Order: sequence, then structure tokens, then C-alpha cells
Amino acid sequence: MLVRFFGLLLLSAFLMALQPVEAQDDNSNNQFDVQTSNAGKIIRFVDADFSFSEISDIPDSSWIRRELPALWLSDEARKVQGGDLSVWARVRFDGTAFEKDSISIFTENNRERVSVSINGVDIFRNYADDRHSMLGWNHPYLIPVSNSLLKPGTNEIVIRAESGRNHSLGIGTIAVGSHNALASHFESQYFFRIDAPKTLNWTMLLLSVFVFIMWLGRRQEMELFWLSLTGISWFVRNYHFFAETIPIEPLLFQQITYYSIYFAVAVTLAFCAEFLKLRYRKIIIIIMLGIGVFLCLSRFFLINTNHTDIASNLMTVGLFGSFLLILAHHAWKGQSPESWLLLILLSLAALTGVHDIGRIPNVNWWTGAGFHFQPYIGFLLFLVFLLSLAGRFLSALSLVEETNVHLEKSVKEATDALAASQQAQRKMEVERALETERERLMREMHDGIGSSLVTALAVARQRKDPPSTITTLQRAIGDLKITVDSLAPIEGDVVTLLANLRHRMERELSQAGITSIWQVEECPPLDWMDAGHSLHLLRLLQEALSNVLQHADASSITLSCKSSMRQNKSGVLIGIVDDGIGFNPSDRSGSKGLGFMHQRAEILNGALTIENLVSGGTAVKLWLAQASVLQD
Amino acid sequence: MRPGYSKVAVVEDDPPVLTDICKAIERAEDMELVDSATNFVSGKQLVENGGFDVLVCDLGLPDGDGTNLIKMASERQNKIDIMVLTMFADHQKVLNAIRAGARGYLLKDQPLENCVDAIREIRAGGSPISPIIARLVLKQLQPQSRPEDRLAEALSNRELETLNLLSRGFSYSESAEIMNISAHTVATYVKHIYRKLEVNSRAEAVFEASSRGILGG
Repeated sequence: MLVRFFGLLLLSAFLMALQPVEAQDDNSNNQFDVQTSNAGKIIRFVDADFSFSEISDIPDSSWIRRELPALWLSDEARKVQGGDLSVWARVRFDGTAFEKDSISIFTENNRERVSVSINGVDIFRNYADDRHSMLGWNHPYLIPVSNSLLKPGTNEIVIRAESGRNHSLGIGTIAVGSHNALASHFESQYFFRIDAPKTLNWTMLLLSVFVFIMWLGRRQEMELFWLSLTGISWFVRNYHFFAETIPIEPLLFQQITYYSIYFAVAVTLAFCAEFLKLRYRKIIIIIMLGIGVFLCLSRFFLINTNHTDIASNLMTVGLFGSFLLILAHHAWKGQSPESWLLLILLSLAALTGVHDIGRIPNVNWWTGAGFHFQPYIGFLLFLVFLLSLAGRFLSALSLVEETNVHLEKSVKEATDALAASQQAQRKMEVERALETERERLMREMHDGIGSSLVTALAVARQRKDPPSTITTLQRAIGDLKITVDSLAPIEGDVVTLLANLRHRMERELSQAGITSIWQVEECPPLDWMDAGHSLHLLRLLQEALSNVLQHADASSITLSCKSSMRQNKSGVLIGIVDDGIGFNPSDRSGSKGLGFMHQRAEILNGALTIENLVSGGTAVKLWLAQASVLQD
Repeated sequence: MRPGYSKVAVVEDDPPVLTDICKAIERAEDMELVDSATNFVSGKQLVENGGFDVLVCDLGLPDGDGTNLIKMASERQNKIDIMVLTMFADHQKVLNAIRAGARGYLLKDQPLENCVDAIREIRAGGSPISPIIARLVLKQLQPQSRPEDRLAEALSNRELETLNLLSRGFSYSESAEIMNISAHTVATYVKHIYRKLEVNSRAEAVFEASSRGILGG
């Protein structure tokens, strides 16, 4: 019994047009078609003589001529035979037709146990013993015939087919001819009917078990469950295509094979519903399975009453068709490639179903491709489902990976932000502490030493004390001012420091008749510069300016500040250039001050150059790195 | 009253320094010393008596904070010019004084004639500013500064430009040349900036007072 789940209605009209051909009653040779190719000649018998005799030897009489193939003899046999069913088929041909060729007999579609004899000599049987029930219906057989068995005149091939009482009985194709020509036909038939379906279906079973185990690990993935059931049920359904013997009690096997088709179709559709996440898919799946059970019951009752299950098949068509409509609706609405793919695939399955229906013995519209597509379509469905699911899992994995990357990034950003905020907080705390300390120092300088110095200066002026006293006091106050400036929060802005120094000394410079020329550009802040560094820098610059004031006899001084590269490091270049008389490097009194300047430059990790210019005057240049002193 | 003539009052607790300044003022032909005080209490009386155009005030008085005197004087008479008498012109003290109403500063150690010059300058409408103070004011104006530090009345673009140049060390005359205006205008801009800083500090005080329920608003 084969699939008849689609197109039965449409094709029944076609069936009506086909008329059985009357067999010619001829006691000698049977009718045959001759097919000649490069490989040799083949005779395909169009009719044969049949006998339902139950005796174990070839019957002598009561042969009835009828056309071949006669696939549906079980009903007739049941009427005339008491126990298991059997039939004899005999064909006669002229042995001279093949001359010296080595010849073989080819036969297929015989149900189920087959034995073959030529000219009364047994040459083949498809079973080893009586203990095993055979499945011969889908097997092609190629039986070499020894030339010694052939007679010059009429030769006789007799095939006996035997079957259980509840099974099908039938005689399929009988051909005789050149071994080479028949062998190539046999090989392709054997491959497409047995080898390929067997390999694919066992593979499918293995994959199904694998998928089922996966589902056990992830019960919430119902697609896995339905996919494994799809694979297993199609394997059960397809087993009879390629198996040679029936593994269990024959009747039970037959019933399982019959009824499994409804279940296979139902779970296939259930998978589709689950996979496409159809709306109301739970209800759809329950209805599918319900219909499957209903079809089984319906068939069971129909078989026991009418001996036909055409109504069940029609309902299967209904089930399949209505699901295709749901799928088409979903594909049309969602425009998802997956839906279209499944729709096309299921439609293809329906078409191949129609093809196979045409090959059912008691339908027999065509021989089609010469073999059934069904053992392939189950596998094809399963494979496409599996690949779709695998594709989905892979993209899910990629998504998880992306999500992980994204999460890691977010975590890093959050961590960085936290670290930055903590750092900012620490910085604020340090600043606050510095500010407190600065205020304390300032108070100290104002109320204590500063106040005393200013008072002393005022008193000295009033008493007209010697200028050296006044100068000393002024210098002491000047030093305090520098210290105060170094404490200002200027965030490493060298320009501001230099500017404030100029601001402080402007009056002194102009009183000495020195014009200050201000040439500053935008400079990057030196983040490493703290109050201590500022003080060193201010003292260094103050020393340079004092030198100009005291010794240079200059009329102008150029103060400059610009960003500058030195040894591939970015930094700031401060310049104090006067147009005076220059300095004497060997002057011992001046060298002490210069030594201090160099020491301070070293502490600042800077590069200090003091040189006399050719044009006259002195150039003091200090380069400070932008990068941290500590990092160097 | 002659134009350009200034009546000056001085509050300073250190007698030699006070004497120095008073002498310098008395010596100048265009100004007159109207009153002086050496502590907060007498300084307060001095402010209440009024009758001066210029107040020179020390901050660290033995019995109180000179900043409060400056605030009182500024609130009583906003036409007067107030100068803070400071030892170092350090940024925090000067900024506090400016917020209280001061428009300039005198350095205690500077030669006497400079002292008089500074008073003349401020009477003429100009105010001095050091690059560090200019920088700190600029920093306050940045959007990331604390909300309470932001100015209620925004600086004009010219004022900002002035502040920028001064913070980068250009003198008034250099800044004036760069901006193509007179040095006097630069000094006036600085005075405007000081006024805006003071207004802001007043607004803050009012806000603080009202939020504490003192004004009962």
C-alpha cells in the first residue's frame, strides 16, 4: 500500500480513461515487446499464464492468460485459497532469439516471496528459509541463466509468488535478454529503489536520534522534538521500501507501515508550524495530531467494513491541503524566505505523492520514474528542516556572540566610567586637600612673615634706611609673591605662569627702561605640573629676568612661549631673550645663579640652554616635555 | 567738587603701612584723605559716615573681615570705588573682594607713587587684573563649572575676548591694540566684568538667604 494522499480526485478521471487490455489466448509463446540497444536485446513480456494452484510443483494445467504486470492478485487469491496466498506465472519464449548471448532474467514488483525456474529447473529464490517473511515487492532481481538450460525451441520461465493471507499478492515485470543490457537497468533500479533509500533513511534515523537527544537537553526547543519525530516516523514509514525481510510480526509490521503515514504527515506539519512560529501553533499542532489519530481510526473502521480506505486518503489530502493554505497565508503575510521554502518543499512533496499514487498497484496509472519517490521525500523534508534549524541555531550563536561582544563593551565602558569617576573623585579630594593646605599657607604668609616683611619695608622706607635694606626686603616679599603664584590652580598652563610673572615684574622692567615684548602662542597644558613644579619654573624664569634687570643693560626683552617638538617629543618652549650685552660664562658670581637654573630645569625634566647671541644679548630657552615627568 | 578730585578713606590695621598710604594720598594734589580706621569697628563707623569716593580697605583686620566692610560700603553707595589693600594680590583674596564689591587692589609693598597712580586709574574707570585671576574668571564661565559659579549676567563677547587676552599675558595696551580699541576701554571692560561678578555674588546671597527663610519670600 502506497501513498495516495494527494491529487486522487483530479486523477481519478484519468484513471477512467484507461482500459484494461485483453490478453491474447495463445498456447505457445507469450506476447512481448522487444527492446534492442548496443548492449543487447531484451524481451519484455506483455502477458503471462497464471495459476492459483496451491500445490508445490509447477501445475500442468488450468493456466489462464492475462496481461503483465498483475500487481493486484490478492483479492482473487483469497477467494480460491484457504491459507497463505500464492500464484504461479509462466512465460514462454523462443530460445533462438538470443543466439549465443549470455542471458539473464529480470523481474521486479513481485509480492512477496519469489522463486524462479527455467524449463523446470529452479534457478532463484529471494528467501533462504521459511522462517522469515519476505519483502520482495520493491526489489528488482537479476537472475543469470546458464546457456546449458536453454533449449533451441520454446523455453519456459515460471515465477512463483507467495504472500501472507493479509498481504498483497502480485506478479510484476518479467523480462529476459542479454545479461549486459539487463544488468545496467537492474543496477540503476537497485540503486534508486534500495541502496539510496536505505542509506538515506538510516542516516535520517541516526540524525533523528541525535536531534532527539539534543531535545532532551533543551526541552523548550519544541522544533527539535517535532524534527526528531518527523525523522523517526518517516523512517518507520519508509522501512518497507528497502528492507528485504520483515523484522517483526508481519501483520503488525503491515499495520504500522500503513498507519505511520498519517502520523508522519501530522508531525511533519507540526514541525512546520512550530518552526515558523505560526500564530495559534499549539492549537494547529493539536488539530494536526487529532486528525492523524482520527485518520487512523477511520482507516481501521473502513478496512473492517468496506475494505477500502479511500475516505481516509481523501482526508489526508484535506489535512495536507489545509496546512498548505495556512502556510501560503503565512508566507504571503510574513514574506519570510523560510515560509516560502517550506511551502515549495511541501508542494513538491505533494507532487511526488501524486506520482507515487499513480504507481499504486490497484491504481496503476503509470510506472513514472520506475520507482517510488516517497522514501526520498521523507528524507528531503527532514534534511531541509534540519538545515533550516541548523541555520537558525548558527545565527542564534552568532547573535549570542555579538551580544557577548556588545555586553563586554558595555561592561568595559561602565568600568571605565566608574574608574574615571573614581579618579575624578580622588582628584577632587586631592584638590580639596591642596586647597585647604594652600589656604593655611597663605594665611601663614599673610598674617605672619608677609605681614612682618611689609611692616618692616614701610618702616625702613619711613626711616630712609639704606637702599640695600629696602631691596632685600622687597626681594623677600617678591619671593613670597612667587610662592603665592605657584600655588594658584592653573592646571599646568605655562603661559599663565609666565604671564603672571610678567605682570608682577612689568613695573620693575619699565622702571629699568626695558620694554617687554610678549610673543605667546597656544600651548598644550602640562598636566604633570603641580605647585612644586610651578615654583621651580617661576624661580628659574625669575632668575633669568633678574639677570636681565641687573646685568644685561638691555632695552627690550622678548618673552615667548610656544609648543615645540624636541627629540620627537612634543612639549613647550619658553624663551627669554634680551638685546643686552650678553653674559660672561666665566663670571664666577653669575655662575651660581645659572647653576640653580640648571638644577631647576633638571628637576622639571626640561632642557635649558643659555647662550650669547651673535647679534648681542642673551637667549635663555627652556623646553618642557608635555608627557609626565614620571613617565620619562 | 573738581572733576577728577577724589576723597579717599583708608582702613588698615598696620600703622606703618597706613601711614605710608595716607602720606602718599595727602601728597597728591588731586586727592584728599577724608578718614582712616585701623580696625573693623571703627571701619564700620567710617563706612556709615560716608563722605568718600574711594575706599581702600585691608582684609585681615584684627576684629573682623575687611570683606564685610567692602560689602557694606558697596551696598550703601554704589558710586564709590573700592580697592582692596593686599599683600600679594593672590587670586582667592582678590576674587573674594571683587565679589564683595572691590574694583581694584593696592599692593602693600609697592612704592607710594604707584599707590596713588592705581587710585587715579580706578577713578578714571579702569580696573587691574592679573592673568591668573583672568584665567580663574574664564574657567568659571565654562559650561562644566559648578552652576552656582556661573554668572547671572553673561559677559559680552568683547569682555570675554578681553579676559582671554589678559589671561594669556597681554598687557592692557597690547590687548587694546589686538582688539583695535583704546587701553582705557580694556580697563573699563575689566571693571564691567568685576561688576558682573559682584552682581552674581549678590544674587547668590539672596538665593541663599531666601532658601534659608531669612527673607521670608
